[in-house]
Amino acid sequence: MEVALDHLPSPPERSMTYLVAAARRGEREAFRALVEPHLRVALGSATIITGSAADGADALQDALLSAWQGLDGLREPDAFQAWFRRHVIRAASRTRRAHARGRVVELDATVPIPGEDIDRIVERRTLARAFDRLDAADRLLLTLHHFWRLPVAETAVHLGVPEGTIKSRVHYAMDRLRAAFDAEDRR
Amino acid sequence: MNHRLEDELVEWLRERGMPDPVSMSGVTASLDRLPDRRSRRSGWIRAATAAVVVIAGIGAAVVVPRLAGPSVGPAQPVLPDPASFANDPRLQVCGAASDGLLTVFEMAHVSDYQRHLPNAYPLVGLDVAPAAPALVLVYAGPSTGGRLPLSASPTPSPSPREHDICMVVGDEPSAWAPIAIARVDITGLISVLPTELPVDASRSVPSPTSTASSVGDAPAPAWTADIGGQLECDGPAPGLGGEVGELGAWEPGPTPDAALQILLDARAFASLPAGGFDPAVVEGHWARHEYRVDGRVRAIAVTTDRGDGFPEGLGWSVVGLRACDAAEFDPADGLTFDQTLWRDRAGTIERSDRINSAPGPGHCDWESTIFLRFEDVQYIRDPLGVLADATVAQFDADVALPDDAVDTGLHTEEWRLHTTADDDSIYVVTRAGSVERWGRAKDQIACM
Repeated sequence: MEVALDHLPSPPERSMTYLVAAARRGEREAFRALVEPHLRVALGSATIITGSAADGADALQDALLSAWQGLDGLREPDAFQAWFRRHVIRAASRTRRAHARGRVVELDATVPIPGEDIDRIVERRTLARAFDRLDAADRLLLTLHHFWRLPVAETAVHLGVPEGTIKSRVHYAMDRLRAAFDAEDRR
Repeated sequence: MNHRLEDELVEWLRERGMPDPVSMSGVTASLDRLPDRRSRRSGWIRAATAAVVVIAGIGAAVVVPRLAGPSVGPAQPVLPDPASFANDPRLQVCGAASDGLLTVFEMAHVSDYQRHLPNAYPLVGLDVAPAAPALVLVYAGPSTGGRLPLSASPTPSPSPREHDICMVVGDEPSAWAPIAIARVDITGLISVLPTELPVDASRSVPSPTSTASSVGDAPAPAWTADIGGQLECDGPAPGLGGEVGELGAWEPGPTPDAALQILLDARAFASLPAGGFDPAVVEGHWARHEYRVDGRVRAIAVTTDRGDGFPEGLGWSVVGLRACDAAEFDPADGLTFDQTLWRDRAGTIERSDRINSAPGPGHCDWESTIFLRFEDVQYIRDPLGVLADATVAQFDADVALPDDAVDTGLHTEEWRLHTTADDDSIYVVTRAGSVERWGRAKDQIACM
């Protein structure tokens, strides 16, 4: 039977449905194609949530493994991105809690640019300490909202809160960050 | 001012979240090392941590997991034969028979849990009886998710390291209370704790049952005893933490301040102030931190650099901790636990032992839920139905407020609590004006 050209499916390499199905069959390259576009920002988020680059990398690797093994649990292939982000956030939150014992608060390790204003350097380091003073929920909220720039609806799901409260929660979290910043600034 | 701070925060987050090439390279390379995929049908998916705890008869607590510290003694390859406990009536408390068990052992104190099981997660719910003895049953059968009675079928556990356990806490039959814990990592299990530390034998080791510990020839200062009695709470102090000698030694730090911060950062205890402790006394090998509000002591932490449970030279460790109810803390200091305190009609923070709520932990996939504890009854807000089987009444996001509903006056920024004569549900009026129905938990639920 002939099929009209305009009814042919998209090239399978571009189809999320195809990639997810291939990954479910165990094809690692298909899984790589699914996750690779998101790895940079996922690693950045995991680093912020865990508080260290090493822990962030560990958490992301945990997330990759759990997503790889848990592909049967993905109901809608087109929802892969949000589903994968959930794995990353869960793994990073777990790693953060697990490594909280004996954790040394990492000061901002940014190398100052020669000639950079010293006040600015001090301010950023104060901000780093202030951010670390926030509780886990606030840090996660601000990371998802200001770094990962997730839609409000998705942020609400990750945090388990009503969607309509996200903006006010961000507002209050910023208030607490301001208070923490002021407290650190006085030290 | 917040706009500028927001801009600074965004820029700083961008810097902090800039992946370094080494980490990026490592993550990318890990994609090549993914193991062969197992289908859902084969059953086991690598999971970092979760297990479900059903706590019967002791009050629920949502616990925070952390990796266990190093074993305090050598691993014992030979586990006690459960048959030697075949006639122990405590097995019946868990509904178990010895032929379904891998091993059974006694704990002198519940607070020794992680010394016996160094790879297991801490159980905040055991805070209520840290000094009580316990019999621990380790099952050989498949995980039943922690529901009592646990399986007594002698079939292999899904993971060679993780087993269900049942702990019978208490020293009198009338006080025996079972705690079921699923999928506990028993790697390094020590059924009998070493009686001597592998350190300087000339140093005396404080007895865990003494009311005041001693170090060598110098007794501990008198203020280390009965720290609960030294609190200046408005109301009764909750049972969290423990006296010196009951709590055991926490992860050590180089200084008393560092030791306390390690404990606070671990978030293993429900509702301590997250900050605001001040050093009050340092006397020899002992130190004390106090948390005060309005000039009154609301929490006390005692640290020492010599104590039972850890070798000399590792530093200071918190060995005593007592605190007032979280409602007596300054909200600006935050809490070590992501708990919401409610206010009464007049706006005064209500005691957390009367009412508190917290989001369900993500490591059990319950992040979409809210656990509310009101007058010792647990209710769950469960919009996604992840715990639908666990509640008497189902969550409903939009119901009519029953005619007999009573406004308790208890509220948060978002919710206002109403009750009816039927305690299978509570009704929560949201800030938007809708009415939600939250169901009562069938059993007390916690997650570890």
